[in-house]
Amino acid sequence: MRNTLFLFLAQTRLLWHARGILLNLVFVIHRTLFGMKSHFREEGAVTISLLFLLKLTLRDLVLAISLASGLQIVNPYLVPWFTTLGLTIPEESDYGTLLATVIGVGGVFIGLYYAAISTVSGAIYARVPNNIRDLLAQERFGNAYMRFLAGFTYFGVCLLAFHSVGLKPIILAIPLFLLGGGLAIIGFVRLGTRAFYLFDPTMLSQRLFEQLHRCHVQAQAGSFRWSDISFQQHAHKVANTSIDTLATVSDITAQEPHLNGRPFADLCKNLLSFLQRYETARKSIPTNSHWYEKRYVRSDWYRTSETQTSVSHQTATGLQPQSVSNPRWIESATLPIIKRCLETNIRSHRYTLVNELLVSLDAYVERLARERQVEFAFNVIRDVFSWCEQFMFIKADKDVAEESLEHMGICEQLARMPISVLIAYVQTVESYGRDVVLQRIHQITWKSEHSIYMAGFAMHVLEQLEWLRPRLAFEERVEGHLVSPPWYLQELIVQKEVGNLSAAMTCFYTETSKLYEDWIRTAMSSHHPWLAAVMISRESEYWTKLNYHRNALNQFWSDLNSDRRIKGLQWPELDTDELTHKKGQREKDLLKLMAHENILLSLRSRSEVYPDFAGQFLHTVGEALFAAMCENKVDMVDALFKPYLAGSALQFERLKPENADLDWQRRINLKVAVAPLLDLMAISGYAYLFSDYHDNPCLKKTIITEWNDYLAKEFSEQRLQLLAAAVTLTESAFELPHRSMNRSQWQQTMQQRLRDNERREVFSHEDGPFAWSETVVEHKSPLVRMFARNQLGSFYDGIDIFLAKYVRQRDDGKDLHFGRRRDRNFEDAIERENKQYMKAEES
Amino acid sequence: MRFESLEQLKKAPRVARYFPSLSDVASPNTDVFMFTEDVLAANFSVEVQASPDHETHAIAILKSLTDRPESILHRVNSLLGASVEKIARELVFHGRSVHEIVRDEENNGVCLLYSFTPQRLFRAFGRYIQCIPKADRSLWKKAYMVIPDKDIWDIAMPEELGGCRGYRAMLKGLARFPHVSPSFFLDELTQKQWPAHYDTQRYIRESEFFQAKVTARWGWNRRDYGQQNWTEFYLFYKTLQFMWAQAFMREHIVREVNQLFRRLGIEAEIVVKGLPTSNEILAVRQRMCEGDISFTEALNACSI
Repeated sequence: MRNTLFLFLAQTRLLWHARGILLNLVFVIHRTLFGMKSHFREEGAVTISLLFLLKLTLRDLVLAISLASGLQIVNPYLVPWFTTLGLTIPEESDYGTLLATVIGVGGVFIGLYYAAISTVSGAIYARVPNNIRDLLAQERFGNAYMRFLAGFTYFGVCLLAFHSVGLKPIILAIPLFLLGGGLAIIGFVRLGTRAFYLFDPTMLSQRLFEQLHRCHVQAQAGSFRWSDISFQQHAHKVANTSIDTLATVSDITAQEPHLNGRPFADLCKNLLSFLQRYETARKSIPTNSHWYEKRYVRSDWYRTSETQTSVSHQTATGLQPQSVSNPRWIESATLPIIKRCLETNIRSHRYTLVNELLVSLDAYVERLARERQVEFAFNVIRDVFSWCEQFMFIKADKDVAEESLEHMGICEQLARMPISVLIAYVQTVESYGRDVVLQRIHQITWKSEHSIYMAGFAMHVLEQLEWLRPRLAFEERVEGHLVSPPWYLQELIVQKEVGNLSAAMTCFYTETSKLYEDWIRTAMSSHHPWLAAVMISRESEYWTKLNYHRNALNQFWSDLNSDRRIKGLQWPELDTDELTHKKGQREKDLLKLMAHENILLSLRSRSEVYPDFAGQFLHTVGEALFAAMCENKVDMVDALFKPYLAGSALQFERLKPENADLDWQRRINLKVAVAPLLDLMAISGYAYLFSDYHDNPCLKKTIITEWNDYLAKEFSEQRLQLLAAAVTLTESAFELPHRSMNRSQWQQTMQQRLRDNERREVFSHEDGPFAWSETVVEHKSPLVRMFARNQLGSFYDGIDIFLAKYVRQRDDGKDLHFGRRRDRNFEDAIERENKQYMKAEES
Repeated sequence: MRFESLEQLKKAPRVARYFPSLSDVASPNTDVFMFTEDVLAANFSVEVQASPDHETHAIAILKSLTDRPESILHRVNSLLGASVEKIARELVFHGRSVHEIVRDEENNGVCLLYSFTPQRLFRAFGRYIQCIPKADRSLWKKAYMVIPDKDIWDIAMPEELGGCRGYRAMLKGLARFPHVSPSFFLDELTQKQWPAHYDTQRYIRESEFFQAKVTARWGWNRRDYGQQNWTEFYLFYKTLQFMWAQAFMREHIVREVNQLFRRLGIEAEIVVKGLPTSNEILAVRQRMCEGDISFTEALNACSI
């Protein structure tokens, strides 16, 4: 009916004129209301400031009033004493004097306050743009005080005027004066202290953040006239002005040496807090809102709807340009301020402040990840690194031996950011999925313009919801109910979620890899091995965490991609195998880097305040080497063993006690120092075992070659003796050898792997009337059979294999003694295994 | 004796066939034209099942319904389709199709149908009264005509599709407002003035909503296959609704023709073969709504 009436009236000019006038009128009314609301809000804030001032001065006031009351109470008792001293009770005229005094004090304070402001203004704000001076003029606390003081003084003037024309003193005015005078005098002291802070323009920036907050709240769905383009433009304009002022404040601050430290950093931290809040608020701002910066694009004639082309053709006016939003205009305008602050403070070596800023930036990218804006989060991370890069990685001619701890801290903080993004994203998606989408769809009232923004959908889904809303509202109006089923809407929304997840996965697998690769390359090429080690260590943590959370991400991916019903709908593609392959490749490269870096760092002395990256990397490479042997990955073994051998030897050299005279403590230290050598021998021994197990001689080829090189003629005897001593020293002791737990884990893993081997039971009556059975492992290698035979584990380990298969096979190793427990039993055991196997085969 | 046309009957029709003074000479509204054209794009092929004695009579009656040239009616199937289409065309243009049953008592009560305009036709006291406009009285040489009920076959648009009145109101509604812009807008534009306060988008949005609302029962999509106003799902939903409406109208015509045969004592029946029924279309649409079949599968299942 409403629609029919509208179309009926729309056939005449009258309706459109009346509508235009009405819309103008409505706009004027709303503008007035908006102005009144703003005014009341401002007044409210002023009142709060006044109350705050009252609260601040309350203790002093109460004290003063109590003192005055006490004096008043004791006053009758003191009057006779007063008279005996020759003093008189104040008369009416004195009342007038009192008033005049209070007024005088008020006037002086007003003058003094403005004198102080003028001093500040002259010193700091003389050569600044008007918008900064406005901030000073609008300083809320001082303004509230001055308004009160002015009113109070004028009140006194009025009373004095009444008294002058013969009216009797107003008794009630005395307590009011008492209270007001106290507030004025004690408050002035507080205000005076505060006036010193006005020399710092960043103190005034709070007002700018409040204004920015108010502006984006104005643009959010559900606010007063939020969908009105004029109000959106107004919010944009005011916010833009605030950002300009903020940029000017930051310019002034950055140029002043006494301000570009803590004050500038605090300003930037406030800015980042604002950006975090804004990121959450953005999802309730329409994507086509004029709150966002606009640029205009022209569409293709043949892609435009017939209706529009028809009107354009009839009017010969051409197609109207379409506006496109820049959804990151606030960030584009404000992040350069953070950049400047970081640069200024790194240049000035204020690393604590830099670290604080990086913590805030970390929180910001984490928030971005929680809002599932992973791509933008990675852009921010990349930018932040580039801001710090030129100051951190200053190119040196040779490797920097000692790095400042602060630089390492900054690198650590930077390299931690991708981890924060990953964890925050995973935490968010763990409680999200198709079911949640469906629940949120049910909460939406499609006829309502703001309902889609209240349902809690992320920013990247808004465009789809905005596309759906008018169509579904149309459908509901035509049919009387919603025809499109929830599963259809769910699928259209989930399609966007899949797109976002696909982009996020690409970032987590590919972009991160590139980021770390670039950073590490930059650190290495500029000869900063310690900084490179920090990056490598964090990257290793990142991949470990990604491996742990990979299931959650894959589950989310599977959930979103399940139950597709709309045929022909274009779904974002994601080759998970390709991503996994790339990740694996990067992990391999990282291990190679670790192996290389391990040697570099082992050659340098390490301050005790530095993390032991060499030890950490050697351990990681050892574990990776063992895993590669288990998985029969020859290329990895080939790539890692040589640096692992060198790293283990260097680690021993670094750890061994310098004094040859071995007391008890030094003996203990020596036992600790030989642990890398024992690890190395164990790993080498397992290489023989897995080489047989996988029937792949190449697996042990590199190990033999590298050992042969290491035990070359000139070092052979000395180094073999060292190995023998290392084994003997630890095996002869009563305690468990250092890192034996770690080697036991390798042993257990190896045995678990060998359990898969095919086996059979062989029964024999040889020893009497009763049959007994024996397990025979089906493998051609006696070494494998021996370790696999007993399901409960073997007494032998990798070191035994290494000694038997490599050391004792050498001419110079035959006669070496490795302690009681590492005697020649192992070779005998292999011999026995061979015989048993032959017997079992015959039977 | 076989009668193949009215000319062979000894008895002439009594009603006035059309009124030239009432015919609309102006070009029809584009939307109405598109709508009627779309409805008539349906398949109207039917088959006749009759005893050999009555088949000729049934075919003769159906043949009298058509106004196609003899040359294309030599095949029975073409004849039947053309007959049903002719009734459909009248229903689509007027919401009603009326025929005088011309009986020749002298020739064993043989009867044929004589189609005439439903304009100025009223029904009262078991009689149909046709009032002839003054301007056309000289042509038909009478002022009015009273015909008993039994001599008229009156078929109206089914109630499910709005009935005769509802349907005519729908056509009127479709033509009520210009789609793109009101006339004053173009007038002012030709004077190179952009009308003050005029909102093109708002007008078009309201006018498209109005048309969608008016034709909601039929599910007509105004040949708008873009997704400016609706989702892909709703477009297919509407398309199936339109197919249902076409099928329902076809079934209604077939039902009415069979009822006429029974009324005239002809043992014949026309049936629709190989086309989805209205109930089948509804079932397919339901399955599409539940997501059991894709949009294309649903469309293919309801197409010929």
